[in-house]
Amino acid sequence: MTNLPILLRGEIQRMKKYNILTGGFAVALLWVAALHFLDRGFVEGLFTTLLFVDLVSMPAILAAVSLFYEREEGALHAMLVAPISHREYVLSKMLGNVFSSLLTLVLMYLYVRLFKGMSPNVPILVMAAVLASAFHTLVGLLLTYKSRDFTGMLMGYMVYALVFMIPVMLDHVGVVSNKFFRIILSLCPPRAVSVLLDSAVVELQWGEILYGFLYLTVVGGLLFRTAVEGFSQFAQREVGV
Amino acid sequence: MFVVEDLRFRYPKNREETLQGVNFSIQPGEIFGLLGPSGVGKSTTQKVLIKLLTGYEGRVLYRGKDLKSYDKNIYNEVGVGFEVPTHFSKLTAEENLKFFSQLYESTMSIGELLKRVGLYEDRKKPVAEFSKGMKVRLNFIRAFLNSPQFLFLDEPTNGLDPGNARILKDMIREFQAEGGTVLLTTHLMSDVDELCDRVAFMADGKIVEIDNPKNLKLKHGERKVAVEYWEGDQVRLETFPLDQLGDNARFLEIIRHKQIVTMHSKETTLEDIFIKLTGVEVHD
Repeated sequence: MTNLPILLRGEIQRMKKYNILTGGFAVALLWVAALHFLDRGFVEGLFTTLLFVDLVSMPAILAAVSLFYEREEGALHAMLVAPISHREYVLSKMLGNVFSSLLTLVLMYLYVRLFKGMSPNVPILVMAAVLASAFHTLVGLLLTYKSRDFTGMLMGYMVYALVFMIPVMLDHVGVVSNKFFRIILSLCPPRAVSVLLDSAVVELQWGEILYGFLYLTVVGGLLFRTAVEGFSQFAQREVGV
Repeated sequence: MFVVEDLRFRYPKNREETLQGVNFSIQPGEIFGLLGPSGVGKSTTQKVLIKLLTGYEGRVLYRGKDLKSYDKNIYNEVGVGFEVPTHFSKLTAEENLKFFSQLYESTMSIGELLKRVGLYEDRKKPVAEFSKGMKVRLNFIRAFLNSPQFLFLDEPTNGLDPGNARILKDMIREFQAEGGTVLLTTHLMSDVDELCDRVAFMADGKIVEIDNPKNLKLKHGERKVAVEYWEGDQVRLETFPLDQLGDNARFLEIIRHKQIVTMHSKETTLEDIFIKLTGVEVHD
């Protein structure tokens, strides 16, 4: 019997109670406000950029917030003696964040669709949101395992952003055109997110979509395995080892 | 229910083993007390038994099977009450219990448990607004949620007023009467005296004594009686062996002819035994 649906419901309930969903919603409103003041010509580019920033950063930070809360309140101990597997636990964090990311996506999509006349490809957008959010939840969890506190995790995330996210953004806005650099960029997780989002808005590029999908699922699968094993070690440390 | 043989565990950062060959067994239906000063390995032993710590040496059997062979489902029949609060503070007491109860195969009535420990009226309050005692009571009933057969309780009455401590102790007794088994870790010797069928004292990573409280008192106590009486304008104290007390002429003379102030048998207490065996004072 799997306890995943119960864990997921609990995760979403806590995201509401701890105002994590509200925070995510507020950020999404901020993105909508930014889009509101732009002309149609600029909205397309900014829509994907804002979604990109949201999907690459929010899930990682929310995963850390959730885990640190559980640790500080001792609830993690109660979870460790409940009939749930570490795999279910990690999955519930991923799915909770995917839910939050999809809410942001719906809000932004409805805005650009209704008020800016854009018609992005919904299945591709949803795929991008699900994969990117799940992937970066795992990034957040792995950084949390290695950090003593939330500040430490944020520092770790800054390094991740500096190394993987900023170069992809620079490429996205056309600052970089070096071919070798772009090949290197294709190894960065945020690049896979970026191409999926672009494909949903600009034009369908099946090769790019395949690359983004395979990268995020294959590397994400490996990351999931690492995050589950890492949680076992994290749990051992939490009980004093 | 549990058989622990030559249990050894060393924390990676420590040079010495925290558990240095612990041996004991817990019989079905008994309340077993694990006592000792801080840092002697009580919590480590408990963490091994509730599968929070792996990488130990020695053998731990649960219901005759190696503990390592059990998966997460063992938590459907084992309840764990931690000393520290283990709740989501922004969820209400009821929401906390409901969330955890849904994870188990069988559960007890949340309302009944809340009523029993006097938290029913506060069930809609966020746990963050609870006092320390209320959190302790909530922790306690969380351990009962899965209708367990084995309970691990760490300092269950710590920080409670006598009235609420009595309710929790009654619940432990009732749990035992229904066939449940308990491993109790506490510093409160009165709880041990009242509840435990057998007690193990730990010192330096080992068990130094196991027996029932009565035998321990007999073994470590003095079979003497102390009599205080008035002698002129002074109170005097004399002690006599309990054996053949009725034939002790001096004792008989005092109780016949002197005004007695106090008279006590020199039974030892578990607290005295604790200090004697572990070399450490008890701090409530």
